[in-house]
Amino acid sequence: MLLIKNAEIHTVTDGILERGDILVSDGKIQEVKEQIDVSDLQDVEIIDAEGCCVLPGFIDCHTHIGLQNRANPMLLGDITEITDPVTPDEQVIDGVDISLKEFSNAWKNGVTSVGILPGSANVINGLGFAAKTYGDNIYDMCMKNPVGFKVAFGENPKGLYGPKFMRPTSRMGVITVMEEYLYDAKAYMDAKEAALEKGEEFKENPEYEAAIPVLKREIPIRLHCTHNDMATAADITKEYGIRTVIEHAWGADHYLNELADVMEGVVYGPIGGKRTFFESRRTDVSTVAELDRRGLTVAVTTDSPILSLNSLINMAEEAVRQGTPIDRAERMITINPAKILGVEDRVGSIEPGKDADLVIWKHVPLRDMDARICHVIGGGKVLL
Amino acid sequence: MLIKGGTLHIGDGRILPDTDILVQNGKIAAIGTGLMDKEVIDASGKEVFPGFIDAADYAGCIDMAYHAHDYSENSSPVVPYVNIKHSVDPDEVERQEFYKSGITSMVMVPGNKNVIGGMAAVLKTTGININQMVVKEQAALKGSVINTVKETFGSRGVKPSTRMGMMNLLKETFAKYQKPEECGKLSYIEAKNRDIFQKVFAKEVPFVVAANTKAEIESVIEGLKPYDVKLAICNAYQAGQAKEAILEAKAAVILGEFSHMSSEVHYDTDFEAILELERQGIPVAISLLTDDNVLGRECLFWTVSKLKKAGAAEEQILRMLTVHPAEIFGIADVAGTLEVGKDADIVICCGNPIEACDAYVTETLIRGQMVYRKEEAVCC
Repeated sequence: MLLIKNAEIHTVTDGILERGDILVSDGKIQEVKEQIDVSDLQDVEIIDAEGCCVLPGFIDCHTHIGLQNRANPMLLGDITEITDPVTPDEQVIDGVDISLKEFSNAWKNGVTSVGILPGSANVINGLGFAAKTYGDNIYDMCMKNPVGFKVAFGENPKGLYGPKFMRPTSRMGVITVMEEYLYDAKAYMDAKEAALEKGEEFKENPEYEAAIPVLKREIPIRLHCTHNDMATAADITKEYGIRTVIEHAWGADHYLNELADVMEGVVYGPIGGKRTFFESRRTDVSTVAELDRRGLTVAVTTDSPILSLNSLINMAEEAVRQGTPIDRAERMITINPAKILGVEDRVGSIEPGKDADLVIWKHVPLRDMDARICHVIGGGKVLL
Repeated sequence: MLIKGGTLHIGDGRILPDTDILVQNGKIAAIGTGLMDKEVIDASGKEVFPGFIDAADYAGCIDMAYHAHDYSENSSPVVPYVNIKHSVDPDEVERQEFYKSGITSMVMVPGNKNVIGGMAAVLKTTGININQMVVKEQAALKGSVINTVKETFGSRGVKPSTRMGMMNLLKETFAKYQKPEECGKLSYIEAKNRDIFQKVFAKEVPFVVAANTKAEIESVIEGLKPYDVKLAICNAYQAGQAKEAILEAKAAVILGEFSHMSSEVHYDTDFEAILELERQGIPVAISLLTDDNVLGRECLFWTVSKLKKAGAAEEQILRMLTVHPAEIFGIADVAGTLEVGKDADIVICCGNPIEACDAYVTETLIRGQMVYRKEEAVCC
């Protein structure tokens, strides 16, 4: 058992407890209140967090970590299966190598959960999952799989297939590839249901099976989408009645209505890049404050390895610098990405019953530039 | 123009509350209390800083579409004779909106692909014409001994393909131009190089060399020991681990950007040791340069955040953003502090961005011109 005493507790979902205790056992948060008496309990490890604050471990719901070994440039990356623009049933979990330092860099810097998604080189890229960043085996670290169906609009699929004169060579071609897939998948699903109803035999096709949770609204599409592609995204989302999370979202300031009306969430970023051609030409993190005010579930992302996960806090700091209230920016790296991943019952806030992924800070992150980590607790164990 | 009643962070450690700055003809004309002018910016309750300096960057030498790679002359690994000024597109610099983050000057450097990559220039971060932007041309000679050089040349079967190859070329070039008279008749290019190296050996300009790791930093310092030059290590992610060598060589440090491509060399930066170097008199500056790219304006303060988390004092950070880069590149007569006679590069903030995440820039002046004013800024 572990008791964190006398801390300023940022629960995220239930405000700030100015001074309180957190009791942890069996990897879970058991109790959160002003004072917890453990005199009757045995083997209780106590951390006195006087003068410190506790936040839930941070979450980045859009990463590709463990998939590209930068230390060995001879290897091809494992981010996207780049042999076909439509690879719906690829399971990204099977490509993840947790020996890459990105994982330890994440939890040492307070990021205890991530979404790992396939990349965006194809139009239909495959299935992503939610995982802890600490542990010895990715299949044990996995919290939920699949959590999202990765689709990409825009430059990346064009850039890969266009030069080979394969569809898509244009943005309108990209949309067609997606619509055709959804149309065929829906026909497949209807045929399957009809067959099963009649008790007839039905031969399953894994490429279309992957779309069924999307069409049944069990998981969202995680859509690489920027600027004018957001108008298209809104159309397709309405037409197929699917759940859509907009990823990257550069240029969202011009599509606020489309986003607020139909999207499930927006994952903004990364920011901090040079302003370059097409997709990241207008990156302005002040947009997240407006998206948040309009009621969208908003997260910020490093897109790691594009930017490293230890910069996730800098991204939230930047949101604050550009006008997001501190408590709202806090949500953008905790409960909001947990909701986007569909794991908000386990992580993203400090509540009894949730996983004990807790970070103890000296000074207050997102308020004080000098806020620094004293301890990281993952699954109830003191990791740092 | 008068900036009235702000808390001035001079840059040299002094903080003057409720003080005015009078700006005339692009320069700081007076600093004091009770100053008068027709045009007034009310800075009461605000924090006023000298403009921040991004100490290494080449935004503006890549175009927005990534088609123009003008930051590096890749025909040879040793190209001292090129001048980055000729590659800068002011419109591309403008697009980066540096002034929104309070960055008023930048050191435009050739990239990290060449062992010796050419001459750097100090520029203001806005202007429609390159000549208007220049603060100092030929402000440094730029080099690099990181893997990017090997990837550029080794991959085409051109030396260097190894670290020893890079060091060999570096030492050979320094040796050659220390005694150019022994070379016989010099070609046009060689004569140009000789003139540049004369500035380096006369310590008129620093040699700024990209070195990431402890090994790279130590090799450069060792290799250049025979030469009395002003050395600055850029990128310098493991400067903390190479502390002893840096102190002995009195080399300056220009930190690179820390987020790009999750490069593992960033993970074990010893920020505390880097702060200790600064306390011991080593000039330490901050930049947006990475191995093979340059990042956006926001990242300058992300490095500030990392240094603050390691225990940096406010005045120490301010020196890294202003006084130190001004000193390294020899522009302290016009930039780096809020002092009479210097360029009126002034950043006005709600709150202190070095201390608080929710502090932000409300106005930025470059040479006395208001280049940015935040709309609907409600402050204090």
